[in-house]
Amino acid sequence: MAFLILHKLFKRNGDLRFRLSPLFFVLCFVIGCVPSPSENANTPPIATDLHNYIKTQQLNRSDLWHFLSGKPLKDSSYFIDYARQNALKTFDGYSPTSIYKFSDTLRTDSITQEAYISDSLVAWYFGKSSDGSTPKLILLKDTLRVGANWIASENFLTSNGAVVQIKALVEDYYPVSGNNYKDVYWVSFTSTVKGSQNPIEPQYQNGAHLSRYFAKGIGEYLERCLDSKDSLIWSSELVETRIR
Amino acid sequence: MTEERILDFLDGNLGASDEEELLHRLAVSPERRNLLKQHLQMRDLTATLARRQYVPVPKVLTASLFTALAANGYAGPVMPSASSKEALVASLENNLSKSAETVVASKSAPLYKKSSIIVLASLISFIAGASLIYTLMPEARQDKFASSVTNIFKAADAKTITNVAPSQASVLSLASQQSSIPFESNINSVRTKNNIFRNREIAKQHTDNIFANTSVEISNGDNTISAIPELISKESNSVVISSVDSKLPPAITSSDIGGNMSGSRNPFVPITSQMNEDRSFWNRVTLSFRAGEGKAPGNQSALTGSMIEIKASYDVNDWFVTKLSLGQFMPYETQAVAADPGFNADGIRLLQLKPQMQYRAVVGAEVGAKFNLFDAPFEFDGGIIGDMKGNIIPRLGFFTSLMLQDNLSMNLGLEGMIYSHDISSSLRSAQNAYAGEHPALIGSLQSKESTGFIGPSIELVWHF
Repeated sequence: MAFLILHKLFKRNGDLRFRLSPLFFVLCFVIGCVPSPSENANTPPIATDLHNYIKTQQLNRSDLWHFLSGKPLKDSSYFIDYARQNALKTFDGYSPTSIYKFSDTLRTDSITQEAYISDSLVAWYFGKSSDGSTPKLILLKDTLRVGANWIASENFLTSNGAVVQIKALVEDYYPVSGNNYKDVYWVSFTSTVKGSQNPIEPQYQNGAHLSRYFAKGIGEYLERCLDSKDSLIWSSELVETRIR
Repeated sequence: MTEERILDFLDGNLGASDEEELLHRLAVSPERRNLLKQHLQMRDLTATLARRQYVPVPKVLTASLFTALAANGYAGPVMPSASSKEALVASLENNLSKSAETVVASKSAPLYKKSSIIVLASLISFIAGASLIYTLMPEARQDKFASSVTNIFKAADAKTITNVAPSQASVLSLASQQSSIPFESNINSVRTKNNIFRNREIAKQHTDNIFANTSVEISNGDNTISAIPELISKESNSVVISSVDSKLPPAITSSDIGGNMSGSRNPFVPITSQMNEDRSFWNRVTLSFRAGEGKAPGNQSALTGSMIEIKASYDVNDWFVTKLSLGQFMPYETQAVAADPGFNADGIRLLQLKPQMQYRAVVGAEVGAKFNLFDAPFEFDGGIIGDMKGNIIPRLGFFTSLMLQDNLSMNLGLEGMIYSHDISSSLRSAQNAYAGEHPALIGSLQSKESTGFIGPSIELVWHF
């Protein structure tokens, strides 16, 4: 439209210069509006430093979590404290392991869990790692990228003795999420009950999936449990990190 | 003696007895009556020119004036020799090439340092396009001199001019030893080295004196152009001032004087540029409407901003101009907004960074420098705009000018106003807004971006 107006404006002069002027203007416009190539290449994000995506092994660090459940209704808080490192090998032969203590806000009734943390594998032991019967979950494995998947546990033994296969899938990546956490991977753990006995815990029931969000430098900061119909059962989130 | 008395009569300075005697002499002498008529015509001309900005000299007046000069014995100047003309042409070409080299060298160095090839390409194409259109088309130069007394010739050393072909002569187109001075306002005086011809005085100038001096100046009170007598010759019924360069335009005859000026006006001749400094206030003021748009280097969007504004300009002197503007600046700024779909499969709210157009009323202040490049007028502007909320954005512009009407011109050029926008603050705001929902950002993360625009701009300028 602008070109037509300019052309009409100059046309009466009948001089080639007057016709070239609007043409030149349009040329300037076109050249000026050529999009620049992306300077932020949209390459799929990957992470190979898995130890940065799990709870740091920092002495005196204490993470306060808030647990909220609708079925049954429960609202509680608990601490996860890094205790120390254990040089003993796990039942699978990994070493060393990190020992974490879970306790309520009154620091009573604590339980101990262990984890083997490396850049290519993060294995979580729900008890003594040297005990072969302790339930184990591979939280992270190999390279983190959207679509990566692995068997987190082939035969996960729940509290009531039910056997569950848990598959892990990296669902998505977020550059920023939650409380300004950076480089966040959303990993979904889906349970498939093996055998006739159903687990008590809702996150291990058949078809349920537990979403865990891992942020670089922070570790896991959010868990959301959905049933097989994608209804939220409970959630647990990191509320505060403090140094004791 | 009679001529002086006629002037005194027109000025009302004659006594009653002298007036009676003069009128008696006029009554019995047709030649003296013609002289009186010429003075009346000259007076009428200067009065007309004083009211109009672009008025050619009436050919009848020119012819009659110099017919009178011829009648008093003036035979015209001695034409320069051919060899000197060739030397002059060579000198002119050398000077022109040196000027061009200087300009290119001074522009090239900083431009090569630009990171954005788009900016560089746009600027080069702008200069090249504007100048090539003008320089590579001979008819453009010819038209420049064909209109009226508003145009002038340029000669580097007019005293060396010789053997000017009659076909290259131009009536009232002037050669100057100075740089070119657009002469486009009201003529109210013509003077030689020793004499000045003003309204009532012009007839006092004895014809023999005109070309006995080393230069002739024509002035309108605002502008003065000098011509050398070697360039002035006489033809049958008119005096011509010659062109000195075969590349210069062909002669125009006295019939061109007073012709229609609007038909072939050179669009690159600005209305107000390069005037002398004694213009009136309103002659220095222009009012314009400007619109521009473009993109910011490094920004992936094709269009990252635009601006419309009205602007008042004031020419401080021949090359320096100040401007004040009021307008609307519309940049695209990347903001964190709710994504579509708004939640992931886990029920987490999703955000995305998306360019959003902002509408900001702005006021601006600029200063500019005018100069000629490849015979085309250019203007380089720099200044700031502010949105009255504490945000100040620098701006730069580079324009050339095209004349559309006597009081209307159009500036075409490139303009840029680039600034850094903080995206993270927007993201923090969105995260706070959805704090209970653990909002997650999809796509790539940017904390800052360069926005605003560099792009073509068009400006319509009204000259008072």
